[in-house]
Amino acid sequence: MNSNPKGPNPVSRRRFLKTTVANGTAGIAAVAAAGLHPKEAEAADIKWDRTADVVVIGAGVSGLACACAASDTGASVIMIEENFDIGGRGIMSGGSIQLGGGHSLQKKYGTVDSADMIFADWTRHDHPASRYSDRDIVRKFADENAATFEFLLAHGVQFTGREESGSGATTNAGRTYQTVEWHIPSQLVAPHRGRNGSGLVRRLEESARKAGVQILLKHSMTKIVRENPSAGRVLGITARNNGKDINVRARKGVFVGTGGNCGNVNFRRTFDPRLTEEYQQACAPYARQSGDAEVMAMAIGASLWATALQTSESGAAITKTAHIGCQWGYGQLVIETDSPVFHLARATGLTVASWQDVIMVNQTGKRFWNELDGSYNFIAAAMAYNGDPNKLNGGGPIWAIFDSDAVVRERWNPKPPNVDPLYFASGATLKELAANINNPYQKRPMPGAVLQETVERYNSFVTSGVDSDFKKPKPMFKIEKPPFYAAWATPILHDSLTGLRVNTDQQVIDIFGKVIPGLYTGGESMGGLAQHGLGRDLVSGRLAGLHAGRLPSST
Amino acid sequence: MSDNIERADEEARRARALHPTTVALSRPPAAEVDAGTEIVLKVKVSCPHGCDLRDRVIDIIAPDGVVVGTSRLVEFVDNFNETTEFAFTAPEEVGEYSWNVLFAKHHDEDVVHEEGVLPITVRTLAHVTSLAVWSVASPIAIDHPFRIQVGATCSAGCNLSGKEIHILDETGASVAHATLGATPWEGTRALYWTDVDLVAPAKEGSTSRSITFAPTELRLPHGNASARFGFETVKPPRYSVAVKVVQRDAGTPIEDAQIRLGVYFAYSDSNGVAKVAMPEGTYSLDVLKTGYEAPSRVLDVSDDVTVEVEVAVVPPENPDAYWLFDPTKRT
Repeated sequence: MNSNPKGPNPVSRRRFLKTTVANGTAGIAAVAAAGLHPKEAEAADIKWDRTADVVVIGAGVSGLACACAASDTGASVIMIEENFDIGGRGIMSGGSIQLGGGHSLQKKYGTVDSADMIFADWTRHDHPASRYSDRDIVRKFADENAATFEFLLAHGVQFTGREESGSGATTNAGRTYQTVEWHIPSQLVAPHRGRNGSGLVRRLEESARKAGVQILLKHSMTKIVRENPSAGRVLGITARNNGKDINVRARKGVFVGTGGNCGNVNFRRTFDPRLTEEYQQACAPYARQSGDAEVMAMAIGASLWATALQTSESGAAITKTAHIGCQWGYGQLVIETDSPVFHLARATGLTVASWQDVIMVNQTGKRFWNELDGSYNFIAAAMAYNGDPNKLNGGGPIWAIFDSDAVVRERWNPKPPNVDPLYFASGATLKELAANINNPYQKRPMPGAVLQETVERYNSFVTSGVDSDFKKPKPMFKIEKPPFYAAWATPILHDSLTGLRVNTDQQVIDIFGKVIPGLYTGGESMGGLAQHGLGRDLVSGRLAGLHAGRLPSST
Repeated sequence: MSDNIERADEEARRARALHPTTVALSRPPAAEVDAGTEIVLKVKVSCPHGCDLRDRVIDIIAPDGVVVGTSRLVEFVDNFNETTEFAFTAPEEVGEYSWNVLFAKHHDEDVVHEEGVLPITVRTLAHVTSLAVWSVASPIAIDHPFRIQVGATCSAGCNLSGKEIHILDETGASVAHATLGATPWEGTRALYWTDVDLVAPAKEGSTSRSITFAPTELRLPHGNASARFGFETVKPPRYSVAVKVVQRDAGTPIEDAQIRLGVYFAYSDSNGVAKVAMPEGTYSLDVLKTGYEAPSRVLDVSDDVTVEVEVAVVPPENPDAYWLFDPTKRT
């Protein structure tokens, strides 16, 4: 099969199939005799329930950008979204959009920037975040930055004003602009927490719907349909809604914008075998980061790309928790009790003001690193092998251990809904505390005697002023006053920094280096550029929408 | 069984269908429980004919034939008849015990459900005890009296009031003992505690003490517990060191900063002042407070002294710092 998006002489083949496939086995035999794989016949004979020019999987940031851009070209668009609402990770984002290149807002505030400057920043050899970039992808990204910003303005996205100051002159500061939080509280997923990304995705949704884009919520993609298993055009997708499959045909292209892969244990371990099941991911339980795009695209021949970007240890692939005692304690994200997904999150967590107030121990009850550190050295120590012969990969749960004096200092209220009983325990003594840990990822009981010894030793460091095990600078507080607490503090995954191989039109490339006609991806599902978040998502989604939308329809 | 009964049974068998039954556990009991505490389980019974056996009794039978627990089948789902979770009391002695879970033979009008039996085994354990020790000051001047608090608890929440704890020195000699009080420590289920009065040793240095707890005369068997604590023993103080903590530039006092002079601790008051009584010497002075920083410095103490330490506000971490990188810096 060649890479012509229309496929080889599709009309004549379709006619051929029409007359043969219906005859059952004889028909299949006839197809085989004609040099066509039976699966090809199956794909071509699909009954399509819906049809659009462009079918977008995932109504997150890249998907919405793709839908809006495709619809700008005059293409019809159907979006498939597995969640009960749109937005993906974008609706929980802080809404800082890294776009520059000399766009109108930069001009307004006199910020000097250009496509060449973006290219230079994201291809630097002296920083691991840019060292492994695919420079073809970066060049196109840089060239399309400013146009993508204007595209957002044209679709009604509002910004708070000039660029964020960031932490001095950084690659993204100077081209980081924040959207305005969505104004309807009931349509937020993480209210009260400045999740301004809601303004981005809701405005794009609004614009898409006005343009006639259909958004099918609670539809999960189960399959990408290609003409045959590893060749030919992508014809559409199958999605499941309420137990029923529907087939959605894409006349021009399918864009998979299902986002990151870090919620998929099997898949994420492609990049880092340590990432076993105990590591949770930011933006769950709203956005799954299932890796669906990668898995299903790879099932029809797609390739991964620039995999070094995922493990360069320069971005936020894995982070220390900011909130403890809950399953998902990522950084700026707190699921408050009035969130529509609080019933899934179950607890808001205890936000740690000072890591001097706790020690952190692994599943065996032993300290493993200086608690004040949050670098990849800390993460690596947290994921180190710690002696369970039945669990060689991953480091198991990490627990923050503290006492009632720490509760007072931190002004915590260690009770539900602030803590989740599965991710939090208390005890009158340290031994009782260890025995009370009842967590699905703590496969073996924490030895209470070990925990007691760990704390006694740490307390001696506080008394002497020197942590002779892990050099925590000036350990300040003993852990001694009952009751004692253990709160889940296992590192949490965040960015998927690479993914599927694409060309500069966002077309997915197969394992032989050929375009898979009709299949596009972007955002966190794509590989080649490890930029965190919204800028990469928006540029890549828009580019895919424009390219697919401008194609002639396949017939 | 006499011939007559056998004949009667045979007649009954002819008259009625005979259904075997299988007893299984929806929730098996814990393999080990504290002696004298509850053994919790949930039982399910099935008949290959899918009969509804609700309201039939399940008994837990001890080897001597005594019924030690009982429940009823109340749910009937997917051909399984289930009890709710129910409990019986474990023996008060430590050991391994077995019982039979019995579904008794049951005659209905046209069906006989045969007896179903499932043996279960549970090991009973001595209750685990454990200790906590708190309010341990440090440093303490040589020969100086001080008071700590010690609490003990039991894995089954038994009342430990009136039981004794002992404090031992490095050689294992008892230096103090105390009796646990009647009211559990606030916020705990059953941490029985007491004040213990102690005296610092006569020589300087790091001091370690251990606590032992070996309760006796409790109705149920209990294990022993031990714990350790330590403190620095120092020379008697001669001078008063006052450290005033102020915010750099603003000059405003900083409250609740931890001041460390070697092994000495103090906290600043609302005027930003912390006072430490200490002997002469050269000390590393550190001022610690979350959100502030000050460089460590060296202080010679040979008289009463007041020093001012300026602390700088640490700028809040940029939440985007993870993914912003500074092109002016090479990594």
